[in-house]
Amino acid sequence: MTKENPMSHPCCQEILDRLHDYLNRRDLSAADRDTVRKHLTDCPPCGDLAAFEEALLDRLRASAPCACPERLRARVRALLDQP
Amino acid sequence: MTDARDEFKAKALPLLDELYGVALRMARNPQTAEDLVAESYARAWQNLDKFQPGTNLRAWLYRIMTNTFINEFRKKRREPEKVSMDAYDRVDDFHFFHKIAAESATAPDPVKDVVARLTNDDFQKALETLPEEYRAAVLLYDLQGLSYDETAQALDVPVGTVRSRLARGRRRLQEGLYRHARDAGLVEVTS
Repeated sequence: MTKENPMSHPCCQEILDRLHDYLNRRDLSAADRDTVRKHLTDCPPCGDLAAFEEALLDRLRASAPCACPERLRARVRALLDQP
Repeated sequence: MTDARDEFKAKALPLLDELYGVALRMARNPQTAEDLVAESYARAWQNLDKFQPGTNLRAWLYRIMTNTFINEFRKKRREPEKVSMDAYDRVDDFHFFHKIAAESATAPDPVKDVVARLTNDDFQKALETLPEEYRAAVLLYDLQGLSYDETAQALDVPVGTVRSRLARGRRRLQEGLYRHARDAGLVEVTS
């Protein structure tokens, strides 16, 4: 990784302003996604930062159990079987 | 009505895992999370006639769950949560990364050396300490991947409010994760 501040360049700032939208994958047009992806490939400081943010999000998502307990599943099924 | 009920069962039951995951992080307690999810499905089931077919069932369920949490589960607490902005508005959106970059004498790989070495508990605690309204926005948008519109529907606030809660929630999260990394000795402290 490099010590350069990735947010120092105006062009980088525009990309980083959209980084969360890019990582969410829902709110950017295909063209905008391509622009961000290309910049992250071409600009190592921004690429490092994006990889870091993506890894943080992955760990956050994985940090809590995400499987609904069977007891709850049965409870909800029973509820939806009521007339 | 039978069709609507069948459609609800087919589409809502597969969402149980993710709703439970969010409920667990909202309620911070497994039993409360189970009750919250069950109550939310019960309300959705009772109010199925209010659901507009063709609109977003996932956002609708999240909205019911968020409202149920705020109105029924949280009210036992004595005081509403007060959110103070000042300290966190000065934290940048990528505070954690920039602190590592600024404080590391050597050139670490921040993903391998820091993110990978934080524990699940560190991540959970950092999320849990966010004020509820910020946490809900971060959970739905950043973790569950709802769009801005869906998150706005689920939280019953305008998109602009979603954006500002996300920005503030992320800043606090970055600051919290940095503190966990520092306390665990994963980053050097220069000051």
